[in-house]
Amino acid sequence: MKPFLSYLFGIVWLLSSCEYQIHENYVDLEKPSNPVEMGIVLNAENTGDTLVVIDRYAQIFYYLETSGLKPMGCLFRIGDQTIQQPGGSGILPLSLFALQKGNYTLTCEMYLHTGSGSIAEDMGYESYMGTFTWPLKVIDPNDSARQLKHRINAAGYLELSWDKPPVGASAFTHYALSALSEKEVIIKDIEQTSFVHQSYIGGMRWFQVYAYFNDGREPWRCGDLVLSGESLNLVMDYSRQDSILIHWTNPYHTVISIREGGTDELVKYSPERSLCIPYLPFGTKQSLLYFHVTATDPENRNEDMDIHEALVVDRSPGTCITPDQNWTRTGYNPLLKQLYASTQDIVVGWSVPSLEPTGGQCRVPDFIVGYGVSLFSEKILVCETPAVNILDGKTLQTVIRIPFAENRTITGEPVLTVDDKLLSVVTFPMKLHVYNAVLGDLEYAFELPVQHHHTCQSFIAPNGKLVYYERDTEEIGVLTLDNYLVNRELVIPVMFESWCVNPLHPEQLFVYHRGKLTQYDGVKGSVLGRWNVPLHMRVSNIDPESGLLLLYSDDKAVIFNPQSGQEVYSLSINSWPCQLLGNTLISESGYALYLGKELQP
Amino acid sequence: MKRIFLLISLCLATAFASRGQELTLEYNLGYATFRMSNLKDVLSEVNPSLTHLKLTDNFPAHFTHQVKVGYSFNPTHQAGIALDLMNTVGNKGVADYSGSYHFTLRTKGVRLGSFYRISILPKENRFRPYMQLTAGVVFNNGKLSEELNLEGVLQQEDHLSMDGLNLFVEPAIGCQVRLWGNLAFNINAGYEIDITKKLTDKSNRFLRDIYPDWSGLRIQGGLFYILPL
Repeated sequence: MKPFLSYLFGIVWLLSSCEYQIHENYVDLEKPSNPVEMGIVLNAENTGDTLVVIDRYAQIFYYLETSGLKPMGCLFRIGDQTIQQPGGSGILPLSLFALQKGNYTLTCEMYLHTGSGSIAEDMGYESYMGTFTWPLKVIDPNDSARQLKHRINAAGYLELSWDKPPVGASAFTHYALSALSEKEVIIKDIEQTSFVHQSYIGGMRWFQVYAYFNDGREPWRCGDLVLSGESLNLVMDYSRQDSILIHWTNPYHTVISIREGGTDELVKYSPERSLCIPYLPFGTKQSLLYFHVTATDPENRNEDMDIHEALVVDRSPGTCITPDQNWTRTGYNPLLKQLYASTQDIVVGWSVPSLEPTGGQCRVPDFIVGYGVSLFSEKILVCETPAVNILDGKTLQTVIRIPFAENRTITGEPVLTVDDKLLSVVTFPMKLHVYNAVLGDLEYAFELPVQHHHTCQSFIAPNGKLVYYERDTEEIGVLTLDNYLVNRELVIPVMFESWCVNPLHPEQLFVYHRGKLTQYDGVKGSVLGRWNVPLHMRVSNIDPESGLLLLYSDDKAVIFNPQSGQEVYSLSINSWPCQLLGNTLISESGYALYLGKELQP
Repeated sequence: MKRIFLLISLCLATAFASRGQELTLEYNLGYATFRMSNLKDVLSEVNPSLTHLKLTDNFPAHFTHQVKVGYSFNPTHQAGIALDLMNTVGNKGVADYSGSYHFTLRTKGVRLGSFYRISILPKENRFRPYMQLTAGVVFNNGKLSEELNLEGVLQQEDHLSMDGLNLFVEPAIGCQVRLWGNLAFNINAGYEIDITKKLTDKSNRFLRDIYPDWSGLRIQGGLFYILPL
């Protein structure tokens, strides 16, 4: 056995010694474990903790603090950019054309050799790594979004202000403030970031401020401002009864001059801010007045910088509802509280009390001579010489047009009753016609017994039960109708210059004669009351809304309350006749003045 | 190629045996040095940037194994064939806690040749010094291996295999010492000279000729057995 083992050992030894075994070179190195202190110093323009990069001027110097270790390099990241930098110091080449203005975070990963000498370190797989971040702002020096701030100081001067450029103070030379057609203003103090403009009074102007530097960098746009022009804010106050107050609120340090009609100087270089213009009598035609208002810099009086505004004022009180200002015809529907006005063949609706157009408008075939009375429906009666048009009061659409029978002209106002009967009085001879307002047929016709064949005033009660008419110069006839047929006739002997009937209470007849206003019972013919009123007045009408009586003379209108027997209101007028409809005084010249407040008890 | 040479040599040996007087079998364990100047230059040019890289093995001397089959056709003359196995390696490497790196160039040579031996004294003498000349071919095999291993991070390997043929001659002197019966102890010393050297790099990794030079000292000792025919 032993020889065999010897031979076997020999063979194994021979085989194992065939291939040369290489020697290992194991180096026992200390593995780095503890972190080391590292840092990075950036030298760049900044505003405190934030780095600032202004467009093309991105000079960011960096230096790595390595605690004595050899730097491998660093990796900077900003936005979408990644920049690899070798070595321990250098200049960070930011590609500013890829960075939009805004806020970013600049990140740096720095790598240091560990100094262990290991294979991993030699191959770059072992290093100390530190990460550092800084807020960074990219600013466009010519950013058009920057605006100058402005205000008007207590003295009335324009004060412009802006923010200091964030960087570049050491190279700053001056600010330049420029405005169109003005001399440039130079400010050499970087801390002076405002300017008081003592000659600006509110015209259109464009201001711009730039900061300049002596190190070749681009000028910094501090901002600009476009002022579109401050108007004088002319405001007309119509709340006064006897005058119009015009006031203005130009905030700048200015004086005002006002010329009337371009020639007459009412105010010159006045520091005041208001002007009072008295009203003309109600109804005055051509009452528009043209004013020219000029604001001026009081110190410089430079006419090129003045601000001008034109102003048109209507000195007649009320609202002009017929621009023709001639032969105005008006009607009123108390249910709709709407006025209807016309001077020729067009009907225009106006709402009460605002006196604003309702938007409704209608043209009738012929010249409008007046409006009828319609108190019980939303229809209105528009009268031409040969016919009457029944319109829908809201839409002003024609419902039916009824030619007057016998081709006559009418006197007074036709009436539409609650049961759709149309009553009208025609002349030569005077006749009462009763029509079916739906079909347009004439149902009845009665001749009125007047003494003389002349055109006389008439009044038909809206209830269709009474008809008043002038029999002659000293008699008023009253027909009592029963179902639109004449029942009886009453003659009231009365001296009259003018008269009217209360549409709300048709039995009330009011007669004016020589300063006396007398109320009669139209059914019985008895006197119900008598009052003294001013001389030379004429009775116009009783308002179907309020029941107040309107009297007018050549220069005055008086509103009288028959119940109290007292004068309620009066005002000067320059146009007659007048009417009172819906608490609104209406002149023949086309003016309407709502007197609801004045007529309240 | 190697098989063809081996077959021809075996045929010749058996042919001689059928007409000779003695057949000899010989095994020698040797120690050889190798010049390997070209491969040493190649290895010296490998210089990765590793701080502690070191040349650990530079084609050192190494043991060889030799088998001879001879024929004594004369009391003092002998001829035959010899088969040798040689190998050596060159290596640069480093290892530490983070990993390891090796660049290894291992060469092997299978030497096949014919020898002619002239003994000075006849075989009756116990000590028989002799002179010997061997010539033949060396079948070269070279393997290049480059490995980088970083623990848990990176592992890279590159291997390359090359083949070639050298022609050699080796003069030597030795002595046989009869032990007992037909067994003798052999010892000799010679010097191999590689006349031609070749190693083919098919990858063209080395932009130069690369070849092993097995030239060097050969010292051997072994057993010698005589087979009478």
